[in-house]
Amino acid sequence: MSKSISGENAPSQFKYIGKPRGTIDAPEKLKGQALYTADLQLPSMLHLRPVLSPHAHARIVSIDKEAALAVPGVRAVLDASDLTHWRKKAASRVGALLARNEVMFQGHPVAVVVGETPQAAWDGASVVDVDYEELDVVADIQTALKSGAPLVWPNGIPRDESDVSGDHGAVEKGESDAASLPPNVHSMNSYTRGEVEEGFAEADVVLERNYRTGIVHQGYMEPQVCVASPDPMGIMTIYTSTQGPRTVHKDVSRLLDLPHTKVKVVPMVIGGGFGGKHGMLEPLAAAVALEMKAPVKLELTRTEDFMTSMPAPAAEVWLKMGVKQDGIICAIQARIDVDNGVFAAAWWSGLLAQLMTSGYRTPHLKIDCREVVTHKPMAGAYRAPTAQTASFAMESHMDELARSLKLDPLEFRLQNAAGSGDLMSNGNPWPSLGLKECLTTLKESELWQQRQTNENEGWGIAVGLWPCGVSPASAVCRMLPNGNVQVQVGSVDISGINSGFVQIVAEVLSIDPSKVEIIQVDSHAGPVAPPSGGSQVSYSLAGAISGATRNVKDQLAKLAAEHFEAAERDLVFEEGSVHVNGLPSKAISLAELASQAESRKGGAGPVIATSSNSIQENAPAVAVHAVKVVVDLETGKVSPKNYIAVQDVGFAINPMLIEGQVQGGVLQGLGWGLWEEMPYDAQGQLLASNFLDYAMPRADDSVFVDAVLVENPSPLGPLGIRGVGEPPIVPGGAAVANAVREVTGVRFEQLPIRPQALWKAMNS
Amino acid sequence: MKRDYIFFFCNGQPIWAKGLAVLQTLSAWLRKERQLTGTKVVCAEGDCGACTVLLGYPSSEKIKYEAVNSCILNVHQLDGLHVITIEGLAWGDRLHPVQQAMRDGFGSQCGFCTPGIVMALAANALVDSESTRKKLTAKEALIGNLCRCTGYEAIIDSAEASKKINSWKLADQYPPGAIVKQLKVETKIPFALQEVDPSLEQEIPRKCWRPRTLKDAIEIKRKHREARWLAGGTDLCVQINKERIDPKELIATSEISELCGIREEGNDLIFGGNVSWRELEEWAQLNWPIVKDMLDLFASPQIRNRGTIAGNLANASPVADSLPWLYVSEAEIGTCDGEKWRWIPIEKFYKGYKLLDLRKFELIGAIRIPKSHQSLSQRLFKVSKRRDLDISTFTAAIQWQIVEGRFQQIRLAYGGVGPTVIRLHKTEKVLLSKPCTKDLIEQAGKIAAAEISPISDVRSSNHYRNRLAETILKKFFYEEISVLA
Ligand SMILES: Cc1cc2nc3c(=O)[nH]c(=O)nc-3n(C[C@H](O)[C@H](O)[C@H](O)COP(=O)(O)OP(=O)(O)OC[C@H]3O[C@@H](n4cnc5c(N)ncnc54)[C@H](O)[C@@H]3O)c2cc1C
Ligand code: FES
Ligand code: FES
Repeated sequence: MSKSISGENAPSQFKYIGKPRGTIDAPEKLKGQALYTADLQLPSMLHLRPVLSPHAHARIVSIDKEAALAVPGVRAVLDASDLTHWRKKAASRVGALLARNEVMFQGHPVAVVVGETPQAAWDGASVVDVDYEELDVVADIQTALKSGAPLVWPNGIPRDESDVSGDHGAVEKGESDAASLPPNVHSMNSYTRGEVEEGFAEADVVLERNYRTGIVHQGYMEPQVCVASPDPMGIMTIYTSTQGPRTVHKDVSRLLDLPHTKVKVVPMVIGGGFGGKHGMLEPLAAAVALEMKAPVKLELTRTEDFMTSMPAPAAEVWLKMGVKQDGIICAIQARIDVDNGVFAAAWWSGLLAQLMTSGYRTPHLKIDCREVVTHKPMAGAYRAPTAQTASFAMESHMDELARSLKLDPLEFRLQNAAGSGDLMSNGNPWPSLGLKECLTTLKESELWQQRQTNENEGWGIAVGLWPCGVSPASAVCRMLPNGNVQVQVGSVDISGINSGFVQIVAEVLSIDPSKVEIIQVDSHAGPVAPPSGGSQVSYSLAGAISGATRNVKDQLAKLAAEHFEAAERDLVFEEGSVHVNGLPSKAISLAELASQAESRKGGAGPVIATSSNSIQENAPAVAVHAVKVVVDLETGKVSPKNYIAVQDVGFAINPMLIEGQVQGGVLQGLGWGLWEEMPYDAQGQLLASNFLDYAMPRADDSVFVDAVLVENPSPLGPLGIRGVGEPPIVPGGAAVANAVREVTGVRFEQLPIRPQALWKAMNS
Repeated sequence: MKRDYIFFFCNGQPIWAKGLAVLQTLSAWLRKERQLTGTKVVCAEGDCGACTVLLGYPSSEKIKYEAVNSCILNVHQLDGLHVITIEGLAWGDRLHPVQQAMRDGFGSQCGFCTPGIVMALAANALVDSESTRKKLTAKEALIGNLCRCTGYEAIIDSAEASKKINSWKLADQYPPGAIVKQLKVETKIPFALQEVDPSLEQEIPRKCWRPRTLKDAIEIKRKHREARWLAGGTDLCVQINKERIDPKELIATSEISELCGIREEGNDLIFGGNVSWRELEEWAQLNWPIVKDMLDLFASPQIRNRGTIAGNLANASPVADSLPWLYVSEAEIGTCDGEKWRWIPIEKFYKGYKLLDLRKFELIGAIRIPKSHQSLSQRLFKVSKRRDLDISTFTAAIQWQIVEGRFQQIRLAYGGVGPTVIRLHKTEKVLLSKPCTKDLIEQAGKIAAAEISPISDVRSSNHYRNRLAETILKKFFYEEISVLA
């Protein structure tokens, strides 16, 4: 992969790339014309209403459908046994279409009412009479790990979604290969380097603390929704609000035993995902559509979404670190428990471990991780999953250590910061890492150097890391006879990436960006692309797009050379046409070239190219944040006043879009720090299932962010770019906690820092 | 004589609607029956603003537009009005200045909040020419709108930038003359959805009336005992959407003329039950500024535009924001059964948790406050997780007058500390006619904490509220009295 876009151009010479530019879909969205999934109305479409379990754990004694079936407009009431295409055991949220015999979390779907109108489905659902026998509830990590605790899965935690063979409808059984594990633990994991005890023996200061973060919801504005439509050719078309159409495609075909070629997932405009939309409702909607032989729409209400979707997991971290007087870290030890809810993904705690303990060098390291299961909805991903907790624990610790050593917190971090080639906690070396660059940038910035505080104000800083993903990807580029360039991708635009792609294509072909169309093709026909998660789409795909576009440009050059009877090297591409150097008045438009190529028999044929791209290594991103807060000592209310966000973006294709990501991510990070948590009681009942009780930040909570973009190019990425979407959410909670410590002297070991909790801590 | 259809305008087009359709929410009607899917539904309970539309009220030859939540508005509540949705904001190909600025300033990312945000800002932009209404800052105008993607700053900047963009007048796009005229003609007699639907020739399961006089209203209520009063609907429609309560019969109060307006009568101020928080705000701006400050913390612009005094009083939440103010202002609640008015001191009106001194065939008609309270010093407090659009954990009002260093008058009321708001008579006694010193306040703080018996719930523990009871008094002292002294 080449680093620059067309070899000869240096970034400063770009006309479109690197410049701020509005998004291509903004006008439609601003006029209310963008079509989201819930806006679809298909002919003779039926409407689904799920019946959710009010209990966290109970046996289903009976389901009485009679009253519901008597409601005018109700066409059917289906429970698990009615879904004839679904014969798999449930081992994940997406695979748990409806409860079989037992409900395992509050919000577990038990039945679906099918109505001719949404209202009929509602009315029906409200009179489905389910008789439950309540069972023991394991609601949190502490309870789950207690000796003698009831087992969430007495027959073993389900590990894969194989067929429910002969015992259709029986309680799902897991494999018991995990006999050696403690109760309610799905898996364990550990990482060691050196000998921690030796490290602690050498340390001058040793600090131990227990940190905890709660369950936080992605808070996407658009509730989960999908439409499933079986067609007469036997193809199940799914229109859905998803970040991962290809993931959904695989899940639907796997769970319902449909051939891969009989499923098609059409990604719709998505009203926010943030990790929460990688597939959940689609298999259920498709299963019902198959039974009803009609299109169906399944749209959750906000409260249902809070109850049944997949928020970020609660986690508990015990962290112990030893440091020498001169500030050198000698040992890090940790134990990490992640509350996965009812099914376990088996990698959250490992990811948390890696993000928490890889940012600073240490000779000795020991981390033990456990994935715990409880009677709650399965945990999912929320923008940079687990990194918020990792940053909160490590950066609180670093702050406290700097205080005991009387070191400047920024210098202390710089002194220990890992760089490219240093070992991560899993033993692998870091790829190119800009941590030191970001810390230095903050240190030297005027914003930081001229920071000020008044009474009851204080600053806190924190580091956030994110590995960023990478996947093989491909793209198709066509020059159309109407002068437009069409790029086909299999990815989904959730953060303005398509607008960045437009800039790249416009640059390569020297055409106006308004002439570039990006088509998101469905999962069946579209080119391979990663899901929009892990900050990987631009990094993975930009190379394929520029490759395909360059190829198209080469083809056009050949056609133009023939046309002018000139050498290709003498051609100049400008404003959508080509001319021979020095003869701009005799230009031929790209439209004309494409048109001739498409129409002339025996000619070159349509101008189209594909390109594949597979980068070997990911390009991690770093965010270093500094926040100033003011604390109201009488009520404990914390308000952010100033915010500096330094981020290594590699190369900024569109600084305006990146700043938008940073601004949005920062406020979400402050949500983690100050307001947001989904509280569950000991019976596994959710206590905050609307926007009144689940306090997401509003306009008056926002704070202007000074975004400082560091361009530390990734060695292998196109143009040197790195992922940018996730890092901005990471360090906010930790930075706020450190600022609160600065003002009040109170060290918070839990997020969020709500007024009441801070007030209590200050007054005790 | 009754009219069995409602009539309104939607994006400049006349609409006649009848039957059960008028009982659905406006958002559902727009999205399903008009395919105007730009209006989004995210929470269906007034919390997020994604469903915001402009509602135009004709007044003489003009139409005055306000932002409202279409998810908690019934279609029949549009009778005689003009609704503008996101689809009707741009004029042909020309984007509204807010839309232009948001496009150029990256104010829309995923776009799901965008239509609601645009409408909320467009409503605020309209305020310009009118004197009684204060233009809100962008942050204030957006309190009722959630956005998860942008962190708001790009939107706030766009709102600022939009002010510099020249634009047409909404009155040119939707000339009010013709609209107002037709609205008047079509809605001359009151609407009622009742008894039988002639097209179906059968009894319809739900009924609804929009009477215009108290007498008519009570007459209907006497015949239909189970009918619920519906004012702005910001409480009732949330219950309908959320708790799926299903009032089969509704009597809308908003056209009852006796319930409208704010007036002076002798030594008293009379606030009609239909007065919305927005109206009160406009009035208070000129007449009782401290009350305006309270309203700044009340819900969101959208809710303030619809929610009414009577609805707030009848809903009787112990943390309703208006109540501490009404308690210290010694308000009397005027209830009416069509003939007789009863005036009940507010402390007597609330008899327990959601227990009102309101008789079966009465409605809440007005509030009466002695004018003398207007000149007293007053402070109102609200404590919640965040500042705005958040249920309060604790509310308080303090009203006082200091003459020669002593409390000549002092009244305290706390909300959120019991089943009803309470006046702190004991604490008041300790303070009355005493010199207002720091020691006295400390003492009063202790008594105040003892005088309340807080409830404990998810939002706040007893201890916190007890201490707040005390702290608030001290805060009041340091911020108000010590400055004076
Ligand atoms: C998002 C949101 C935020 C809110 N924030 C706040 C807040 O900050 N502070 C606060 O105090 N409240 C708040 N509320 C509650 C509500 O807006 C107010 O209580 C409002 O004043 C209710 O008035 P309404 O006209 O909308 O009542 P409606 O919903 O029309 O009626 C409420 C109740 O009163 C009854 N009723 C109506 N009129 C009469 C009458 N004349 N006589 C007798 N009974 C009658 C109805 O039958 C119903 O039971 C909020 C609501 C929402 C949705
Ligand atoms: S949909 Fe949230 S306020 Fe109407
Ligand atoms: S732009 Fe996505 S919620 Fe506002």
